[in-house]
Amino acid sequence: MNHTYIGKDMPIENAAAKAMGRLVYCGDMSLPHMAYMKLVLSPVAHGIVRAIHTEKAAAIPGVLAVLTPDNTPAITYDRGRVLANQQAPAQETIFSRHVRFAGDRIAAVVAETPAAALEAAALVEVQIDPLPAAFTPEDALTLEQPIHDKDSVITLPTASCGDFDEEVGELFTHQTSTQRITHVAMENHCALADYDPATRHMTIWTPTQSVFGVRSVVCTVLGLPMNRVRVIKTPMGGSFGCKQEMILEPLVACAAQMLGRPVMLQFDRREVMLCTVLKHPLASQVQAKIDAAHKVKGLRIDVTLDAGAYQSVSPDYAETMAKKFSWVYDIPSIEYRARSVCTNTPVSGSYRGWGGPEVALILENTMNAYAKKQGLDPIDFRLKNILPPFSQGKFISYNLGSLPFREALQAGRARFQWDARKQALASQDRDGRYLKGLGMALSTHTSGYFPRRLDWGRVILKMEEDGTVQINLCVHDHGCGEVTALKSIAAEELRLSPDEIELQEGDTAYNALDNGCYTSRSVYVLGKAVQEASQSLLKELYRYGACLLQAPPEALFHGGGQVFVREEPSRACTYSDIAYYCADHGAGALMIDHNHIPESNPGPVAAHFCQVEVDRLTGQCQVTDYLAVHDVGQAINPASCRSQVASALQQGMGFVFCEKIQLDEKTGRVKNADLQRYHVVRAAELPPLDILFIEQPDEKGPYGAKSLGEACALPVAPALVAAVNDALDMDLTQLPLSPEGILKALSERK
Amino acid sequence: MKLRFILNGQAIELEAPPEKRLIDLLREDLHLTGAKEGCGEGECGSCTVLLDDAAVHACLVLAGQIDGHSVTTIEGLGKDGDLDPLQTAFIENMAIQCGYCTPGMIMAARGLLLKNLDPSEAEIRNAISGNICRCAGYTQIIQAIQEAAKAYRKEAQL
Repeated sequence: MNHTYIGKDMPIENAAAKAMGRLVYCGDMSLPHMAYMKLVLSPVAHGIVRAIHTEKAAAIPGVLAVLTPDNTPAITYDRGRVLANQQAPAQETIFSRHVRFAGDRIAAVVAETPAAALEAAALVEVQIDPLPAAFTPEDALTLEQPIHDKDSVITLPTASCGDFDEEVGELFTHQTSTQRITHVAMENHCALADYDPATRHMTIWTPTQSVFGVRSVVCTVLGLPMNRVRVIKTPMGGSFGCKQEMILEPLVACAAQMLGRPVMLQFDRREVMLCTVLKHPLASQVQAKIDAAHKVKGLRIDVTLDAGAYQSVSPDYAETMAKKFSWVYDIPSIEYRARSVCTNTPVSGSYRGWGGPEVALILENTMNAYAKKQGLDPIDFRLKNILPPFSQGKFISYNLGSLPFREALQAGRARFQWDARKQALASQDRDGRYLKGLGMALSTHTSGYFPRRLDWGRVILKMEEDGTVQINLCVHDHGCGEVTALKSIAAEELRLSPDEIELQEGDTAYNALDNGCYTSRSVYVLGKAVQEASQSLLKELYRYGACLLQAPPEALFHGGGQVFVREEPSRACTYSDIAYYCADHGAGALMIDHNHIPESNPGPVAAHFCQVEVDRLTGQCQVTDYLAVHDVGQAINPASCRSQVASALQQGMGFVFCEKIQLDEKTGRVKNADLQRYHVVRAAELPPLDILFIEQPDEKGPYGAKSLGEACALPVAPALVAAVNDALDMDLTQLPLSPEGILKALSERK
Repeated sequence: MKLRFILNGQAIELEAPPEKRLIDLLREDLHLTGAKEGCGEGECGSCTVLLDDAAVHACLVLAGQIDGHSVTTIEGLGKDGDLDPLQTAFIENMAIQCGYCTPGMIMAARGLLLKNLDPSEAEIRNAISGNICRCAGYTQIIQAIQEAAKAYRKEAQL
């Protein structure tokens, strides 16, 4: 099918403003009388704050207020919940006298200038009586006094299907563990709130993934009515999950209400790394039963997530992992046990893929290790075990769509020249300094929430009198092109230029309730809503165009902002003519209110293939070649799709090779809360990346699209791990695979 | 102290403490918010500006150091309302995602092209290795810089 905009590379929304440095991010805003907030964080990992002395801080010129647990609400809330009626462990307060990690919030200073706030915050004196602290789940389980009165340890009910014990096959055990990492979105967290005591209206600007989630938490904490709290999403300088939870917004809202003036809180990198959210450290044990024909018959998985100091989303995170073990391979019996354990460490939370990358790592490491042990080709081994198209997983009740696992594996095998590479590497000098290895991994993900609740796209589409279009939809662009994609969809349907479509992002004052842009749902769910609404608007244009042109609607055609009589194209009227006609003839405004409730959730398949070279002298790994094969249904904007995959690769390489938040073993303090000591992958280190999109349209997706943004993050780590292990003929499963770790493993083998 | 310097081609004079960071001077005093602060220690490059003709991290430069010099920020790029070739190339090569690293990335590239109008891919990668972009894989950024270099070379020949 020939499209004008769908499938075409489109520059991202506001590209010119971004290139000119003119786009206003939250931290670039300023309001009259705006004040600045600075937090006072606990230096102690666990303790009770005996005294807070604010006198010296308050005496600094320009200081407007010092917020402490004594003058702020003590209402507990959960930073990760979207609706107040969600079951969520509400363990957190705005400020706390019981500090649970080094970085926990004790107080804050609000001042006329950032410099005054900074100076004063350092002068708030805090006396803390330390309590025994635990920095690992193992230690936390032995604490006499738990970190919270309730829910310090949450053990999920076992999720199971089939009967693992009854399955016949060789027992293969495997372990994978991962480290704590930070997202490194380039924009540090920032929020701005303004409260007008005269009108009792609160307005909050924030680069959030859920304006309604922010509103819900703020209203709970401050006891405000929802219709007087307006949350506006600002341009987001990257999230990767780090801007999903509501962390800064309750704080600035509280301060703004207290002072009756705007208050901004801008985190620096250290604060982002200490007191937002980090990716969970995780330990897993897998038992697999694999029969003589190399069919995986059973999986028993035991996972422990380190939730950090507050449970928040962690139990939910652990729970969603169960189904993800069941939707790549046809495994009759699966048992999944998980627990989420609070420790006196920074809070763990949302990270791109929400358990998907963790599951892919655990499962694919197991698959790769077994294949290696048995001398099986990892692609052949997978081909024996993949779910057939249109299957469903074991823990879900819906169809996963076309699931082109076979196509992805075969296309990748051919394009990467897997077999030829394998043959070439078989004769490499195993005693040489550099060893090369191949790795691959397979996965799938979600395209939305279905069948979980809170998944809909409510869109109001209106045509202005000049024929341009406004879309009102609660979308939160992460910076990766959601708005561009949605505009392309509307433009394609209406045959307008994307320039003639306007779409403002999330705003609780105007948008219908929406869960937020999580789980890669924006294109599949919101895109479909926009497509259907556009089709409805077209019907209206035909209906009134028919009146204007005095021709039956079925004789009409549209293009270039006009409606024509198909057989007689000179009989035409513009969309603008129709809009004025409606206004003049009592039909009112041209506006569609559409609610799309998805009934499908296809799994976008991903297969990644790579070659890595390991330097046995230094332990350094260099990724030399990489192929990502992605079933995207239809790439709406291929340029953005390629960026997503490239971003997943660089983040995955960081996760595998160099990124790690390090805690001091004695104090539990983060030792590397800065980008000098926390290393991400740089431009010079990236391999050539080949990307192949498999485009088999999904029946229900907009133009057949499935999701991509998180799906591409899943196979990276296990593919890289497999390549390193192939190179070294080892089974390293504890991330990161740092040079020191590799050298240690090599020396232990000798 | 009284600072006299050239900002985006205009001579200006202002009073500021010499130890104030250039990034704060630009953002707070001069309301030029194109340069972003991502790390505060010269690691991420999102605050990159030109000091005379060299790309520098505005978070590591102090106000006192710019006295008598010339500072160019992203807002000062482009002539007579037209975009600079780098800005155009970044847009056209889809080298922009969230956009937060973009001003710094473009200024780092400008610094490179002021020294070398025909950089190799390796030279480009090295020049932007102090600039972090997390939304993509630098491929489009490198292409954009190559395209812009071509445009500059063409301009230089005319």
